[in-house]
Amino acid sequence: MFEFLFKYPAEYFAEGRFIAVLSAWQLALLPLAIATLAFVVLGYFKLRGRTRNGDRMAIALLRGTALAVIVFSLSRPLLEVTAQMPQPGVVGVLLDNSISMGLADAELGSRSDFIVQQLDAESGSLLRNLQQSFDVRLFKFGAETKAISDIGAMDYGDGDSNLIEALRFAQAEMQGEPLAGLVVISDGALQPDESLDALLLALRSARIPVYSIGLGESRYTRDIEISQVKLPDAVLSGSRVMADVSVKQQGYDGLSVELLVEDDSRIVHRQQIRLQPGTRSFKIPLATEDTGPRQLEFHITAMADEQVPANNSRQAMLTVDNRKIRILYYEGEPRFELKFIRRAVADDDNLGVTGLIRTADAKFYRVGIESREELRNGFPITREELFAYDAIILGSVENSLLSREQQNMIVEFVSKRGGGLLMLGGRHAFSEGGYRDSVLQQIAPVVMPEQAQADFTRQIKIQLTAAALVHPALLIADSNEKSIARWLTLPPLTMVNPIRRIKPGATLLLSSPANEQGDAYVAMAWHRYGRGKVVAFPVQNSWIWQMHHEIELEDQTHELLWRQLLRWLTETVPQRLSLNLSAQKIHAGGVIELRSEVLQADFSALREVRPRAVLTAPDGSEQTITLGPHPSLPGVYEGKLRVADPGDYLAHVELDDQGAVTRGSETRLLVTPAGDEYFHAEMNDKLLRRIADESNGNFFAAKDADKLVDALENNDRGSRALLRLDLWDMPVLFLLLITLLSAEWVYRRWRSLA
Amino acid sequence: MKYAKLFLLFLMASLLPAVATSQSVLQDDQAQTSGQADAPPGNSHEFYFTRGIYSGEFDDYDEGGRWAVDYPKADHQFLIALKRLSVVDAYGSDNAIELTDPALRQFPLLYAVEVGSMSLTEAEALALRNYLLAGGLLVIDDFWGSWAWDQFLSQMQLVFPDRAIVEVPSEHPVFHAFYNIDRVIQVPNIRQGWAAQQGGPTHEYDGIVPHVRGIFDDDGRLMVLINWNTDLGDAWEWADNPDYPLKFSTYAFEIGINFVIYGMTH
Repeated sequence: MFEFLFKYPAEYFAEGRFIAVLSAWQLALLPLAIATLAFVVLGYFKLRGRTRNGDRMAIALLRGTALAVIVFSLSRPLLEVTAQMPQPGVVGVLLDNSISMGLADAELGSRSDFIVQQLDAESGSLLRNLQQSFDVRLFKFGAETKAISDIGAMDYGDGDSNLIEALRFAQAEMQGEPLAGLVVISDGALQPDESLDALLLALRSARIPVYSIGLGESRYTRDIEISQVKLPDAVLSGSRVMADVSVKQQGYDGLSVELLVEDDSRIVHRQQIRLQPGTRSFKIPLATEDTGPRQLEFHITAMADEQVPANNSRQAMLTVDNRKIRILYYEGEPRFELKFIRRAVADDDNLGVTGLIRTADAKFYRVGIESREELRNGFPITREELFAYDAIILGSVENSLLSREQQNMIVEFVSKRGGGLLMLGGRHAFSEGGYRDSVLQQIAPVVMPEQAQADFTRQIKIQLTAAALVHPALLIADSNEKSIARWLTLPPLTMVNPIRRIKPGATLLLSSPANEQGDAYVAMAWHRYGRGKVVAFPVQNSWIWQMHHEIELEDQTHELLWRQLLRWLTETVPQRLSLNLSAQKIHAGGVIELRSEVLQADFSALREVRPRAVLTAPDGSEQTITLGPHPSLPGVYEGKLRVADPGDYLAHVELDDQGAVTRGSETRLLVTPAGDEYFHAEMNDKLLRRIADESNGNFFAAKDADKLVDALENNDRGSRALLRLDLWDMPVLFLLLITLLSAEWVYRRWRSLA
Repeated sequence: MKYAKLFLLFLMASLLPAVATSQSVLQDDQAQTSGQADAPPGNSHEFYFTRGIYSGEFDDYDEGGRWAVDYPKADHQFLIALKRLSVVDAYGSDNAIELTDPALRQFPLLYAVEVGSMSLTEAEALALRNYLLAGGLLVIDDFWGSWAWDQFLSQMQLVFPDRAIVEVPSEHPVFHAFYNIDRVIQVPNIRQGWAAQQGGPTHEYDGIVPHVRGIFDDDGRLMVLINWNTDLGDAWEWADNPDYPLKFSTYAFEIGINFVIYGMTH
């Protein structure tokens, strides 16, 4: 009877909650309805004749209540309740189709064997148990996700496993269906990122639990893996580059193995490394000779009993430029430092140092100029002139020799143009040059003392910090060990700028020995400022490392140091036309994102142009895409290309410029049949557990897979759903309305009223 | 011409007050040492005018050695001019040093005179060779005639047996680093300078034509600058003497400063 009158069971009303959903027009009409009600009620009190006050009140009460019932219905009341739905539950099962599923583990055998055993249409025990309680939908996921009817569609050939996309796909495919949960069967070979966080939030919000079954061993007992190689995107030809190689291993503690580095199949470096427990990073110095985009392969010979030999090699890309770096060296007085820096880089075809030296008041001498017009008017006064250089060396130049505008230009040169600034020591440098409160003080990596000490002079024995040991510019011998030994024997230098502090975020590379209080003078520090780098090298005479009687004539320390320092200072200086790829390596069929920056001579953004990105395949065929402007970054243009076939590709950007075509430097893209599936190939149980936990599901090891069905059946979601039930059409409301109107009619008849 | 005279007057006026000071320094130095000046106080200055002390054939007869001719007054007066006319942070006194002294390598510009009497020991030749190959610049001055040239040549062959001595062309940066010097002129000693004013010759012995010659390194940079048949040191030393012609002192200061600026930038 209750359900007949109120449309829904009584427990719905006990557990649920009412929601009035008024549309905008209903809300607008509500005051009108109240006013009408008041008018009607007051109308009864104005009746004259035989009516008494009691009659008026009775009729008004009946009519008013009837109107209130109508207003209640019009407000479209809802009852929100979580209810068990009568439909059968649906379960989505996502199966990992990547090649790492072919790996064999000690306990499980092949990971793909598990899928056959558990989910085969005829013999799979897990599938059979699931189908007894649920409608099961199968999906396979790799680089892409597809719905499949049975596991016969699995080939375990995908080079990538995009679990995040798979979960999104399955959720979208089964939207509107009573989903008991999603089941992921995978080794979890996925690097979590921000998109995973967003997905987990969405799953939790939609109350969709994810159950994960982890395949594989969470920790191999015997494996060596080159887990990561870090290289700069581009370096100058002849530069020494420091590769940061992470090697992870289990089972070979203390073993010495050879790390080989090949450049297009030519061995360019070999080094013995001693394996340590867990993951350890090795700094590998590499010389770069051949120009163009290089493909370097880092390789450790596989052990006979290794579980995954395929992860002993890793490739990395490096673009070796052969362009000429232009450096402006500004000196406030003649100094031997200039002479010896110029000598140090004289044989380096990639470095050109132009010197501007004040020789007398208002008299300047130019050396190393490329044209008669270069620096004719002294230090540049326009951005276009200054920004033609890649780096500035500021010698013993007092603050007053640079106008505020010129100093502001130097700040922009570093922060916006991305140039390098090297601040040398000298009697007119830093605080001693009056820079304590200058514009340039803001971008220096060191804190300049408040008081200048014009009479300060110290002979400083230079010491390396820990950061310097692995700094590519400060590696002055073939190996780290030899380099450290060489630093220890270098003669002292003169310091006339007592600087003791670096700024927060700056890196201290060289210093004097600490005194009894633990204080030391800064001899070299650097930091990034905007797009560029700023280095402080507050010593007066690094040329002593060339001229000192203890330095052998054949010694190349001074030359090497300056070449490497200037190359490192300028290695990230952007070009006016550049192309960046979203990855150096993708799998076949993947999409590469291309982004180009196009700048004018003063390095401001060049708008409204149409740069073209060209991707050249190994067979010479080209894919070209016109890049579109970035929605918010001026001068940045971007686009995407899908690359179907594996191979070694070259990419560059072109721009039509007044009838000619300007071409940017080339970068390399490696397209592989497989992605990084053999790396991090152990079961990533942490990730699988996290996905399960944060979506209110469960994680199961493969051996516990039979517990999955129970977990699904007993969860409080399954086929239960959150319902919003309409109440406006409850029979009880119509009955009440009819009763009220009838009662009014009867009352009027009884009281003989009109 | 009018401006040149004004410049010379200015130069003279600027030098005169300093000469008295330099002479007192000379007396102190001579009292303290047998020629070698006090070691400079560290390396706090950018430039030290350094005079090379070498073994010479007439050392036994010539008190202090031929290396010390015009020393140290010429050095002092040159430094006064250098500091007045340029912004070079120069140590204000002389700095003589033996070729075999390890500290020589801390002074990348070296001045030597009267090399016609030079008689290098094996150690001196090796030290000088290493100094020059490391990046030092040797400026030779005040030796005259073919006999002195031959002697100097024989000494240079001990240092660089296989490097040629060539004429430095007038367009070379060494002639334009500070002043534009278009023509090499012969600078006489005090006696010849006075004679020249009377119409006499400026040369000594058979050194009639002045030369600026050089020895270059493999990259075309000057290692040795040879001022032959000329005496810049005397012009510096006697710049304060009214009897010494100003045009020679002016030229000597100009080319001397050019040598320093070139030596500090190339």
